[in-house]
Amino acid sequence: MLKKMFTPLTISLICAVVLLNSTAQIFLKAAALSGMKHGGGFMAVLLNVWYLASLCTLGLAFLCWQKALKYLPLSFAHPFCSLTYLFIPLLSWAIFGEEVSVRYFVGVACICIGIFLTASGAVKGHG
Amino acid sequence: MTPTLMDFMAMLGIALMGACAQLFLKKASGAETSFIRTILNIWTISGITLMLACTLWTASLLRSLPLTVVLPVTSLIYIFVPLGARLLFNEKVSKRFWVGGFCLIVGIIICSYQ
Repeated sequence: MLKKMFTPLTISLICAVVLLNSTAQIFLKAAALSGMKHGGGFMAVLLNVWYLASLCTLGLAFLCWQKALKYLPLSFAHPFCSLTYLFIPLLSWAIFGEEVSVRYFVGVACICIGIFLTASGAVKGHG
Repeated sequence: MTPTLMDFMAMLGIALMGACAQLFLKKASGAETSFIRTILNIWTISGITLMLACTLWTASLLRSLPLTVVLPVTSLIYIFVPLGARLLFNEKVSKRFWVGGFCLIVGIIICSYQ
């Protein structure tokens, strides 16, 4: 049963969702920083190219996610979303120089385990 | 940078709003039969509007807070959505869910504690 789920297509789709979601959050941060340079108001963020990039990336991630759900049950696929919480700190550290300590990664690991359990242990209705 | 109480309330608000958005979209997916009708459904439109509002609110917080602070708290959405589904759609949550919820909160506290 597990072998049936891990096809090259499903693995690629899940990877795409995780990477696109992580990138979308990075774009949001870039939009916030760029918006601050141009006045700091809401409109500066809304009309920002980084914000639009974030929305496009989220849209792409959503499409990949919907496609993945054609092949995988939700309770199986959803826990993999916790991987975005591993990628984002690494990307923020590399791109924005945000501080990440060992303690922080312990917290992230707890969050990932928590997401894994809540997502796989929750709904059976639409799964 | 240590987040203030206002910042925590804002992040909590984002997680709640995001959960509402997901629940609205779920409601929409159950209501209509055709694809076009699903897109034009009021629940779908409201859900997408709420999600856009979430991204704007998050971006606004990110002006003063790092991603590493904002993201852990917004992961509360993984608790809110199944609980909301239980309230609204009578879906079941298992013991595993509660254990996961506890882990999640512990993780958020570890990440947020400066």
